[in-house]
Amino acid sequence: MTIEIKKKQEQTIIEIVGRLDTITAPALDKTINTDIADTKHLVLDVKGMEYISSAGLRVLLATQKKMQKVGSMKVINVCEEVMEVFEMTGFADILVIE
Amino acid sequence: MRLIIPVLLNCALVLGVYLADKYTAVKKLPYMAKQVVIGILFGGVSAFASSYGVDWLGTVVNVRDAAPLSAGLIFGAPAGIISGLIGGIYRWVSVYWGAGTYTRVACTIATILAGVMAAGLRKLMFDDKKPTWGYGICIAVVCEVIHMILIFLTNMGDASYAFEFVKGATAPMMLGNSVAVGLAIILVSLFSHERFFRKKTAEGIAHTFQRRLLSCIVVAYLVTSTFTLILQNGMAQIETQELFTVAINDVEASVRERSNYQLLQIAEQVKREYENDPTVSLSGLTEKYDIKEINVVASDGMITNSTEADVINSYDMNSKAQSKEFVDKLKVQDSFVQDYSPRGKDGSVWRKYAAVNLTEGGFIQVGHDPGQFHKMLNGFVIDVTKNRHVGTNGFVVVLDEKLCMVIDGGWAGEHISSIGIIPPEEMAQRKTATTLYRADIVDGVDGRSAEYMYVFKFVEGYCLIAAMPQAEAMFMRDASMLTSIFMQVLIFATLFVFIYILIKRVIIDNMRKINATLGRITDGDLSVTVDVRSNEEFASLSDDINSTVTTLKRYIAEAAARIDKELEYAKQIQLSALPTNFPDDDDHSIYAQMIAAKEVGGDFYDFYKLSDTTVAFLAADVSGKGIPAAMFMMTAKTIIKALAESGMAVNDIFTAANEKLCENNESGMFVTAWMGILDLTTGHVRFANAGHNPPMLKRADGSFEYLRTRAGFVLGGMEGVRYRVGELTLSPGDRLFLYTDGVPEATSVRNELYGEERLLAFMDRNASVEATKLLPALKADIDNFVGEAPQFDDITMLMLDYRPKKGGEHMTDKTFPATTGALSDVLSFVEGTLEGFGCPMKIQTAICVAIEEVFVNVARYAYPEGVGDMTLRIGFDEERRTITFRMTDKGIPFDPLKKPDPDITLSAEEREVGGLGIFIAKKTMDSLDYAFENGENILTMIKKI
Repeated sequence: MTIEIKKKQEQTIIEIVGRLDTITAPALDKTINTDIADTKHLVLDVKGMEYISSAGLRVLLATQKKMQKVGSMKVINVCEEVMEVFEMTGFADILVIE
Repeated sequence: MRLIIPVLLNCALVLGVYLADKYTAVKKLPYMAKQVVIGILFGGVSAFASSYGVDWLGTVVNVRDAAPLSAGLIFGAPAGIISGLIGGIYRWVSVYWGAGTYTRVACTIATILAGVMAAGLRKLMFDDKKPTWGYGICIAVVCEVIHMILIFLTNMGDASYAFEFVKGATAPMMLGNSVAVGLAIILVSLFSHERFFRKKTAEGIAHTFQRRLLSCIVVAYLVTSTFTLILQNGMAQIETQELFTVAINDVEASVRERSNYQLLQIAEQVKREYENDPTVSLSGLTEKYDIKEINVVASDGMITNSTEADVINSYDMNSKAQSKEFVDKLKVQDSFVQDYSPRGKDGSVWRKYAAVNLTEGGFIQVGHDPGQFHKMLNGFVIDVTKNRHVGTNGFVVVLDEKLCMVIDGGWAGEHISSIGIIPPEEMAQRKTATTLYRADIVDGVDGRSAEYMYVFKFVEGYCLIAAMPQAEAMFMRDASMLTSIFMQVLIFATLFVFIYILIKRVIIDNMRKINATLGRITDGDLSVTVDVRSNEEFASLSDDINSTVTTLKRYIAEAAARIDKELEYAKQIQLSALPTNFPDDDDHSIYAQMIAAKEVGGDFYDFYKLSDTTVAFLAADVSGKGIPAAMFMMTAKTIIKALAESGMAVNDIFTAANEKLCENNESGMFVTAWMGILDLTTGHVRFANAGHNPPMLKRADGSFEYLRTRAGFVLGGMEGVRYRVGELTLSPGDRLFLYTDGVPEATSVRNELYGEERLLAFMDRNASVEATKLLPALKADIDNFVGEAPQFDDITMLMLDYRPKKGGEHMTDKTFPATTGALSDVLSFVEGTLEGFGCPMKIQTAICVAIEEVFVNVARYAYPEGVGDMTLRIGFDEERRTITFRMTDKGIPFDPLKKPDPDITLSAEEREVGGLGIFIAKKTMDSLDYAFENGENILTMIKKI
């Protein structure tokens, strides 16, 4: 998995490419909590993410909880397989998906 | 009073024997032994009573007969006969030490007879049971009557002595014996808590008849006895009177003859002297012949000469009846003597006249006055009556005109009242007695007085009295009365017994026979027939009953046939409810049989697919048989199937089915069941057992074994029961055999059970035979074992064969260290394998997510204290397009599926971070199944592609 951080005005865009699984999820968690700890508006671009497991979902949930207190978070470019997982687990209702 | 002691002894012995027989070890002795002992004991009492009695006319009055009667009537026929024999023989030999010989024969026979009679009556009349006390008394009385008659018969030579003896002995002997027997029976009745008097409603015909017959017999006996008494009394009076008349007439004739003869002689001599010398002095003649009067009468009746001057030529003999008799008589005969009677001319003077015809017509009459008449006769009268006897002790006495006795000795000239006869009115009026008189007459010899009967007659101025002692006069009456009363008692008693026995034989025994047969018929034995043919009425009754039974049998047979037909329909319906489309697929086959014991049974089996990869199967047995069991079975089967199809776990199916079956289960029926749900892809079986027999499991490489697990309670037995789930995993080639208890509990004619051992042995011998052949073979083996015995219970058998494709080329497995670091390797293995199966990418991703979740779970939690492995086997069923993942680890047992699913409807704030992994796996895969077997956690997941 690769993570790329882009700043665009007030928004911080994180592009995730590859698998967000048990092994890679801690890296994303660390990035969000250290590198962009002060961002107010987070955009997760998952265009290149074709795989997510519960470890990834856990990071997304934790981030969602944090961001909705300080600003906003949205997930964009969700592929079909990941969307299925979101829907299956109820995350489709929790996350702001565009 | 002396008789009370043997009476009481008899009662005491009766009570003692009765209580001993009832409450002690004596009870256990054999019947005959008891009878002999009782016989000997009562024989002893009889012997004791024999010598312990009251002296009467030189012999002993006793109650010897009571003991044999008591023994025979109360305890039994043999005892009665034995004690009678002992008592009788004792009486016979007791003569050698001083007992009387007078009644020896009679007493011996009577005592033996008492025993025999008691024995016979008990057998014939009382159905070998103890009679009531009333009968006991009657039998004792009759027995004593026989005893008395025997005394008479054996002493006919001296009837009056026998009569005297019997007269005195009858009352004490009858009383003593009957009280002894009656009291003994009452005592036994008291101690056996019997009713004293029979309850009327409980009385049988025999008893009613006995009672009525007895009343009739008693009435008849009283009537005939009264009649006999009156008749005998009259006869005795007439006989006595006759005896008196003969005696008196005899005396009278002698007296009259003598007086007539004397006076006629005088008249003849006076006539001779008068005809020799008609001038002879008549008064001179009266002096010469000591007569009072001489009259010469002309043929016309006029007195021509006389010693009485006043009648000469003035008295016509025809003028008075007394004198006219002479005129009339002497016209036809030569002489005539008139009875002593009042004189015709002057009625106050008594004379006796005699007259003879004179040769030349007329007649001459001479007359005695009373003084002259009696002076002449008294001596003669004394001689005539002196030694005259009436009967044995009776006598004749003659009284003169003043009623003084004309006899010799001390009483001579004494008035009749001095011997005790107060002249009755008729005697005072000088009339002949018209009835029998009684008086206490003093015996001239010893001065004792006794009651006499007498009559009297006046003859020639004398009064003749004939008297006889009352006892003598009435002896014959009393003797014949007593014998006839005794004979009547005997006759009526015999009649009673015979009529009773006859009625019993002809009617009561037959009725009992018929009742007994009817009893068997009402108890359900319709094969018996009544066959009493001793008389027409019973023969027709028998025929009627038989034809009724035949008709009944026909109706029952018809009804049974109808029920059989209906049961046959019920059986069809029931059987049609059992599935017969036995699956014989590539991965499994099921074959089952249900053979009902009756037309419809309570057993059932069932199987159905719950999904493409799961199949449910069960065998069950409803308590009871027949229609109710069949109906309960239908309900149970339907409920279980409905619950199973709703997707419940097998133990929950049972828990819910139990609740439903308990509702309104008033008949208390229940069902045992063993149900399994097989995952065809994994061979994993989840099962529940509700009180059912353990199934048999055969591993592909092993033999049959009983799969014993802790069974739950029966279904429908109790509300609120919860059932556990059991699990096992079938490997390819494994067989699972379900059956009901009809198999091991099949019972042979020798009452042996087929048994689990025999079943196991049979199944092992035929372990690899196809189910479609194995089950019929098992049934045949059971039939062979059972033999002729009817099938007792339903027999149900179900064989499940698990044989999924071995899947060689499509199955692969790999073992990984259980650490998250190995995840990439695992996923690479999965992706590689799935690509080989041609699995679409999208599904691959989904599967990988699920595999990751499970693997991470194992890696994190399975081996808390070290490092372990996890083996992943992936199989692919090309035909069914399913992929099976089987992940095995040896870590701590943990069922990840038990964890509750997260609530995915909550908001982000409320959501927990954990629990999502397994949830995703569940959602992704088509089925997940966990088992813990042989120390391994096995999680099986199936995914369709």
